Amino acid sequence: MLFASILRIMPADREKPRSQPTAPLALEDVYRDHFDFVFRQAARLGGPAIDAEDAAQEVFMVVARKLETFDASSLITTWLYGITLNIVRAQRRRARIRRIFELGEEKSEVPVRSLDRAEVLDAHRIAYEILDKLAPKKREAFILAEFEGLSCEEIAQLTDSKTETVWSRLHYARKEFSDRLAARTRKDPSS
Amino acid sequence: MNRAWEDPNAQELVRRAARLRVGASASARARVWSAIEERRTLERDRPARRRIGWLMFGAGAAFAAAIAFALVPRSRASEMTISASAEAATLDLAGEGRVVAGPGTLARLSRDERDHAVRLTVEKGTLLAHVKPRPKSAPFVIETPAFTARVVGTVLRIAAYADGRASIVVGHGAVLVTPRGGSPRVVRDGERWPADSTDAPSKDELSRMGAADLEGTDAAAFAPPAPSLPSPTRPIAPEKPGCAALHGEEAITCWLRVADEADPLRAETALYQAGWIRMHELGDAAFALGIWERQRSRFPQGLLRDEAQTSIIDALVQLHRTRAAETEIADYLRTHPHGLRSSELHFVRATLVRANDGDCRRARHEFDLALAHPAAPWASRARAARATCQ
Repeated sequence: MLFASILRIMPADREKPRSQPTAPLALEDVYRDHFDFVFRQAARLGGPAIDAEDAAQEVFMVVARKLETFDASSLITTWLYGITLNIVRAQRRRARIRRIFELGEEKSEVPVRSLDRAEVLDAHRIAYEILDKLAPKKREAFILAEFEGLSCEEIAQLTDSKTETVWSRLHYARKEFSDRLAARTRKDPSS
Repeated sequence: MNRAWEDPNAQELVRRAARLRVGASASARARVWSAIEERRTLERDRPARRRIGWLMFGAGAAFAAAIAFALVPRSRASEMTISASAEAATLDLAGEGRVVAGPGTLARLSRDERDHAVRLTVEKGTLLAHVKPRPKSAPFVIETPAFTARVVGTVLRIAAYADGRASIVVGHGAVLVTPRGGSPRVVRDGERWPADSTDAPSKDELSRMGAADLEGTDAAAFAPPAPSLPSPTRPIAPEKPGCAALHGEEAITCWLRVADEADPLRAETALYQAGWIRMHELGDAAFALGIWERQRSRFPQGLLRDEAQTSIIDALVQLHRTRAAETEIADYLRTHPHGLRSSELHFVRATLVRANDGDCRRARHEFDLALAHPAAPWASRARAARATCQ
């Protein structure tokens, strides 16, 4: 969507007065314009542990119920991101509980088509194993910065945080990620 | 982004992991929407069954997924979006007629509360409509990218394509059609505009409409004229399935190969696809821009020229080449002052003017033009930005 690109360079919308009257949004429009965003965030934040399609469905069910309460005092992407984050957290929690009770039932392997893809999948698995040990907010900052390529300002806007806070979370997330990867490599040099 | 992270091993791992594509496919998009619609219908039916019941019964469509125009909350009664995903959907216009929206249709229905005129804007897809006789002072107006039709009471079908082409076939009654940039003409039962279009309703659409609403019209009334010669109104031929099944670089290579080998229409579509994947899947606006510029120079009058131009604008904005983006926007708006993307482009231009020049007077004017579609996704932002630009 063309207008989605321009939102990146818009001045801070958080300056808008809360009482600003806004046109009602239709679910169809929000879905059309933001489904890819929601799906992508769900897939990135959830990692291999959750089904991004299921998560996206749950997100838009919440959107359908709450759209009338969205008052445009924040960016719609910030609002959607918040909902996605909550849904993903709940699904990850359920996946963890399922893993505990189903005694190691693994998700089926994604078919590997080439050595290159196998490497990518392997890297993805290792990265998420490490990321899952990070505190949630550090984990989110890391994923948005390193996988989605967002700047700290963009992450701050999306997560409704201060840029300095994002910087700090990212700094510690990178450090912890490096330390955990180094420890893992020491333990198992083949990984 | 600060690259002060000094751990080459971790960076390499992340670089590899980030290559795993996480974009949603078109089928996932349709599947999720269909599931949402199903769940929403269930949720909606539960508390309101009694209220909706009589209306559904009265319409003789107990099984149809109909949404009554009159039931839309008052605050939204003046405008609603018709969006059919994987399956056709039936819409009851509460005494004013009935519409069957084909799969993938996107349209807006609005009613002017002062004179009760109804306006149906079809952005893409197909609509089979039965419009009941109405007073001339309160017409039913259908807008597509290619024409405007004024309907007083009739059965008709409209098809609109993403590239701006559209056609109308009249099954019963008469319609006054005004092509964009052309003079009005009357299209009567069994006639179509453009005359060489081959669009016709499917059996599913006709059965969803129901015999009572077709006013004696049958499939033969909508049948395309024979023989069917290739015409510019035919939908774009399906692309080579091999490329559509691929992702990322592989898909781009495949589409670029098709662009070198295929007939002009497919080649143009293939270039557009390659640019789209480069931009939206791989996030590489610069490379995408190159592909779309190549498409434009090779097919300056192609069917997808407008799509290419708006995509070029999108890429330029992402690359922060704002002056070039403004020049493209001005060019688009000069040739399409009332085009489907015009108000969106006014919004983009307003934002660029506000951010780069700080010219609030001009920005406010552009925001006003963007608000020609008051319920568009960017409308709330346009209002807010306009209010804060002093």
